[in-house]
Amino acid sequence: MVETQYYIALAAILFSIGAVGFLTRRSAIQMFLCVELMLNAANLALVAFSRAWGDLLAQSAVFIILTLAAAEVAIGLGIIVAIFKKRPTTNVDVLSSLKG
Amino acid sequence: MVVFVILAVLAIAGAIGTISFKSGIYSALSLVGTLLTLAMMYVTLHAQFLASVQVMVYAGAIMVLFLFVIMLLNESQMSGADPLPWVQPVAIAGGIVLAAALAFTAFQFKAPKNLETATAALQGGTPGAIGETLFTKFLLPFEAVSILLLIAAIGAVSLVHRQPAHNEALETTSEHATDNAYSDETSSNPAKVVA
Amino acid sequence: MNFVAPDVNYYSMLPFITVLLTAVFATILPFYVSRKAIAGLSAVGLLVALAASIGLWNTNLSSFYGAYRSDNFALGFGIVLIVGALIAVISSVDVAKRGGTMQAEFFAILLYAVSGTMLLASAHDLIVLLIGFEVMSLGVYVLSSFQETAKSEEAGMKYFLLGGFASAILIFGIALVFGATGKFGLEAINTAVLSPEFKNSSIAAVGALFILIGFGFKVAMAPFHQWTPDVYTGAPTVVTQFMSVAVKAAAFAGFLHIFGLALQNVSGWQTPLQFLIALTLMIGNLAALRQSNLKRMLAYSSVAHAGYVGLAVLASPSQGFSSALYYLGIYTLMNAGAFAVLNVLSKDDDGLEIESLAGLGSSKPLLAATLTFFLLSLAGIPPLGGFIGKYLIFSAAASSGYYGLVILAALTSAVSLAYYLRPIGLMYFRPRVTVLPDFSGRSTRVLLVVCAAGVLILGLVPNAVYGLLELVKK
Repeated sequence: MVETQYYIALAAILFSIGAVGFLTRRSAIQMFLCVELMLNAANLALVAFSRAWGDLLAQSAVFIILTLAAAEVAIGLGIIVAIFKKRPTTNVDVLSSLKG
Repeated sequence: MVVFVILAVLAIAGAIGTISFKSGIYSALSLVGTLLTLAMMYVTLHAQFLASVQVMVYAGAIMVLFLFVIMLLNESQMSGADPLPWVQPVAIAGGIVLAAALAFTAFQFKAPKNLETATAALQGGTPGAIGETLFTKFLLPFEAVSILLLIAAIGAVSLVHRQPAHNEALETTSEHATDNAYSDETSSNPAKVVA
Repeated sequence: MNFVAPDVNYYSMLPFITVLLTAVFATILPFYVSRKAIAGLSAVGLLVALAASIGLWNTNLSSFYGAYRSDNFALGFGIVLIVGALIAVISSVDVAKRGGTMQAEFFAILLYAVSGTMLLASAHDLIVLLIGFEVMSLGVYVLSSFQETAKSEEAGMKYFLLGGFASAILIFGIALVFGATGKFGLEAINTAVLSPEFKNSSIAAVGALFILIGFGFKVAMAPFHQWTPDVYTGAPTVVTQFMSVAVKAAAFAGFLHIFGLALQNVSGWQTPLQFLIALTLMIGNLAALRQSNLKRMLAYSSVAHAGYVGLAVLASPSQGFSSALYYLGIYTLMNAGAFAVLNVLSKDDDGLEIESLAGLGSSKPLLAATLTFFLLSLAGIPPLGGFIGKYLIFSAAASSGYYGLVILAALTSAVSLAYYLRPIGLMYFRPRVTVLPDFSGRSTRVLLVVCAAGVLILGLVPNAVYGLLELVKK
C-alpha cells in the first residue's frame, strides 16, 4: 500500500503546476483550466487524507467540492462566453480599460 | 507502488500539457487525461464512488462544457505576446520552489493511524457508505450546496440576457415599464416604437 | 447500517432561511410583477430577517451538530450584512432614473449572495464555510459583470479569475488542515491541535498559510489587493457598494472564525499576517492619495480599512471578535453611505472626478452634508463612529502586544485625512465648476440621513451597542 505522503507530494506538484499555469497563460479559458487543475490537486489531497484518517467525511467533502467546481464552471464559462463572443480572442490582455 | 508511479507520471504529464499547449483544445484534452488518471488513483485510495463521479461529472460533463466553449469561441490561435515577459521565468522558478517546499512538507506528514485499519474503516468508499455520511453528519453542506447550484443556474441565465448600458429605447419606455420585470425590454420595445 | 437522525433545528436558521425564501420569490415573481415590487419585496424580506436576527439574540441556538451556530457573533454579523444589503437595494432604486436600469435578476442574485454571506458568518465547519464563501463569490461575480459595458465586463472577468484562483488556494489549505487534524469542525480542529497526539504541526501551519492567502484575496489585503481598484471601479456602483461592505464583512467573519477559533493555537500564520496588514495599511492609504476619481479613491480606502480590521484577527479572540464586529457595523453604514451619495451624483457607473464636487455644499446641501459626515467618519474623526471603531480595534491589538502595527495604523490613518478631507474642502470652499446630476429619490434621502444618524449615534454612545456586543465573548 502506497503511503499517504506520496499522494500529498503528487497533489502538491499538481497544485504548483496549476498555479504556474495560471500566472503564465494569457487566455482566460486556459487560466480557468489551471484553476480546475488546482482544485483537483486539493481533491486528491483530501482523498488521500481521508484514507490516512479512515474517515469518510473527507470523501464527502470532495463530493461537495466537485459540485462547487461544477457551479463555478457554469458561472465562469457564462462570463467568458458573454464577454468574449464579441471579441476576437480570449486573451485577457484585450481587457485593459481600467487603469490607475 | 508501480501503479502509483505510472499514474503519477501520467498525471504530471497531463498537467504540464495543460499549461504548455498553445491551443485551448489540446490544453483541455490534457486536463481530461489528468482527471482520468486521478480517477484511477481514487480507486487505489478506496474511493470508488468518487472515482466514478470524477469520470462522469468532471472528465465527462465539466470538460465537455469547456471543449464546447472553446469551439464556440473558435479559439484556434492564442495570439499576442505576453505584456510582462519576465513573469514566465519568475513564475516557473517560483512554481518549482513552491512544489519542492510543499512536497517536503508532505513528507513531514506522520500517519495518525495504522494505514490498514484506517483503510478498512472506509468500506471501500462505496456509494452506500458515502451516502450515509452525506445524509447524517454532512447534511448541512449537502443542503447548502443546493443554493450554490441555484445561484449558478440563475446567474448563468442572467449573464446571457444582460442589458446594454445607455439604451435609448430603454430610457424612453421606462416611464411605462411593462408590469413584467423579466420582459426583455431592450429587444421588444424598439419594435413597439416602430409600430 | 446504523442510521443516526441528523440534528436539524431550522428555528436557529430563521434569518438565513428568510433571506433564502425571499431570494426564491425574487427569482420567480419577476415573471408577474414589476421591478419596483421586487425591490419592495426584497426590502421587506430583509427587514423580516433583521427582526428574526434580533429575536434570536442571546438564544445561542445551534443546528446540525454545531455546524451552524446562531450565537451573538453570527447574529451580529447577520445584522450588519442585512443592513448592507438593504442599503444596496434602496440605492438600486435610483439607478433606474439615470437609465441604467438594474436587471430584474439583480435582486434575486443579491439575496442569494446575502444568504451565502450569512452562511459564511454562522458556519462552524470548514466545508459549510466554504460553501457560504462560494455562494457569495459566485453571486458577486455575476453582479459585477452585469452591464454590457467594457468596464463592467473587465471587472467581472478579473474578479472571477482571481476569485477562482483564491478559492482553489483556500480549498487546498482546507485539505491540508484536515490532513493535519482529521476534522472539519472549527472547535474540533482546535481540540485536535491541543491534544497530545497532534503530530502534524508543519502541515497545519502550511494549511493555515494557504487559507490566509485565500481570505487575503477576498478581503483585499495587499499584496493580493490588485483586483480591488479595478473591480470596484468597473462594477456597477450599487454592486461596488455591496461588495465593499457586505462581502468584506462576511469574509472577515469567516476569517475571524477560522483563525480565532480553529487555528489560534497553530503557529506560523501570525507573522505573515502582520506583514500583510502592514503592507495593506501602507499601500491602501498611499495609493488612495493619488486618485482623482472618487469611486477609485473609495476602492483604495476600502483596501486600507481591510488592514485596520485585520488587526482584530491578530488580537485575542475575546476582544478581536467584538471590536471587529463593531467596526464593520460602523464601516457598513459609513462606506455604503458614501457610495450611496456617489451613486446618486454620477451620471453613469464610471464614478465621479473628485474635482467636480467643487461647490456641492451650496448647490446640494443634504448630499454634501451627509457625504462630509461619512468621509469624516471614515477618516476616524471623533466623535463619529469611525473613531470609536478604530479605537476599539487598536486597543484590542495593543493589548495583545502588537504595538508596532498599531502605531503604523495610527500613522497611516493620519495620512488618510489628506484624501478624505480634500473632497470636503472642495465641496465647501470652492465655487461650483461642473453641474452634477442629482438622482436621489425620497427613499435614498431618508437612507442617507438614517446612515449618518447611525454613524453619529454609534460614535456618541458606543457603550449602548458595545455593551450588547460584550456578550459576543464566549
